Amino acid sequence: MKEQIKLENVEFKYLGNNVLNKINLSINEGDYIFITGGNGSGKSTLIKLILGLIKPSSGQVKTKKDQFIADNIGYVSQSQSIDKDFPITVEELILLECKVSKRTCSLSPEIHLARFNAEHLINKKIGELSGGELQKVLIGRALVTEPTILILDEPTNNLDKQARENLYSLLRHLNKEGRTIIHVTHSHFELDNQSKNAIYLELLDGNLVKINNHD
Amino acid sequence: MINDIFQLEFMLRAIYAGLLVSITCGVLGVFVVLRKQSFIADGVAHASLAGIAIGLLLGSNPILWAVGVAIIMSILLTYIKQNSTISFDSSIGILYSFFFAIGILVISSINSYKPDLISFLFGSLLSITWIEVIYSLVLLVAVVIFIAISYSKIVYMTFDIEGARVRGVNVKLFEYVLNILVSIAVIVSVKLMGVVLVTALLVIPATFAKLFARNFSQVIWLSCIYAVFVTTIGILASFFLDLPSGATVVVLQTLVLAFFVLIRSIRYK
Repeated sequence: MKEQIKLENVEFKYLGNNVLNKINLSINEGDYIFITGGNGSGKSTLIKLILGLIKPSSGQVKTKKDQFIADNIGYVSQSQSIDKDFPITVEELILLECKVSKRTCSLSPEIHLARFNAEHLINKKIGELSGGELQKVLIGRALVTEPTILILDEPTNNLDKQARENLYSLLRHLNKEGRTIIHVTHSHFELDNQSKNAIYLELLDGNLVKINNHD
Repeated sequence: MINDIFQLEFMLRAIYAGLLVSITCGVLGVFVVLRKQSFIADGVAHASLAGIAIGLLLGSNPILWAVGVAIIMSILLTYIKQNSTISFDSSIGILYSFFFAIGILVISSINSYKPDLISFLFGSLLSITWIEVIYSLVLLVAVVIFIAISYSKIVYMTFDIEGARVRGVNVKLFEYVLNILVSIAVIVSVKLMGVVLVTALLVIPATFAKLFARNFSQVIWLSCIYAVFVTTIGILASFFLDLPSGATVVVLQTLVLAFFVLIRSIRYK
């Protein structure tokens, strides 16, 4: 399997304190990776390092062929950070992604959304969507430029059980299509709902440790 | 009676300036409101007192000095926001108090009575000159060009700032440009609205538009239409009723907004 992202001895310090200690991580095409950890454990920092939003204090984040990694990543930020009163329709949101991204969109927003059974939402304002629908739309937005890596930061927050199950099913389907999924969550509960092929990692005191979820 | 107004040059100047700053503030206000930075306009308007006072002290154009102070303030605010952990509203509170205090100190050193100062504080139709109409036009053109060129990136950034960074949008640069344009718009509107009321021109039309638009492009159009329509009526009302222009426009804008919010809440009950 081809390696897409590699973290080598990555350290990150904030105000003199070690947030991440010598993280080594290799992410290959088609991996389904869970990263868990408590509040303040450094999950978001790790994601920002992978996305290139911040630079490590030491160590390296390497990407395939030195390409700008963000071009190949679909990123779904925490839905709590989204202003649901923002007056924008689902269609506008999808088109905006196409216009701003350096990659092109081959499908119209409606046809693209149909892949996620979300085409009926196209003319709705985001404030009119349920939590599950919004998450589906945000994932649809992240994938409209066909990136091969999908990073999700706490995607199941505020979702009910049914919406969570639907989301897990969608993510498994995307992974089967060959996409790399990096799923960040604070909840161990999430880990019980996933396939045995997934890789489970936990951030503990700034160290990334592999956990066996199916013991 | 309306025809008589257009025979009065000062009213023509006020209406032209009102139309131009309404469109400018209508557009920029959308981004101010959606970025939850309404306080920036209030802060810049108050800070501009330092520039106005220096202009009056030196006997040169106070508006140009106020624009200078506003640009300095917006650059400092943006720098602090991007490079420190001080919250945005705290830095506005600190900086505007500082510049306002400088303004008071400078004014206290001016011995003679300065009637211009009253028009800056509360707005006055009579005080608007043709050069200020031209400033308003130049600013509007600059804002339209900026928005037209970078529309998608600014909307993306306003909706999802972290996502915009991931997509390679130069968020830092756009924040500087946007905040500087807002600051200049505030100063250019000060003669019409007054230092203490100018925020309303940015916030009320955009709030109205946010409530009633069905999509984002509608928000900008609706905000401009509301601003132009209500501000023009406010200017005419202030002339006929012999009231301060800024206060009249703000009262009218607020009442119209309240009326539509009431209608909306009854409709969705």
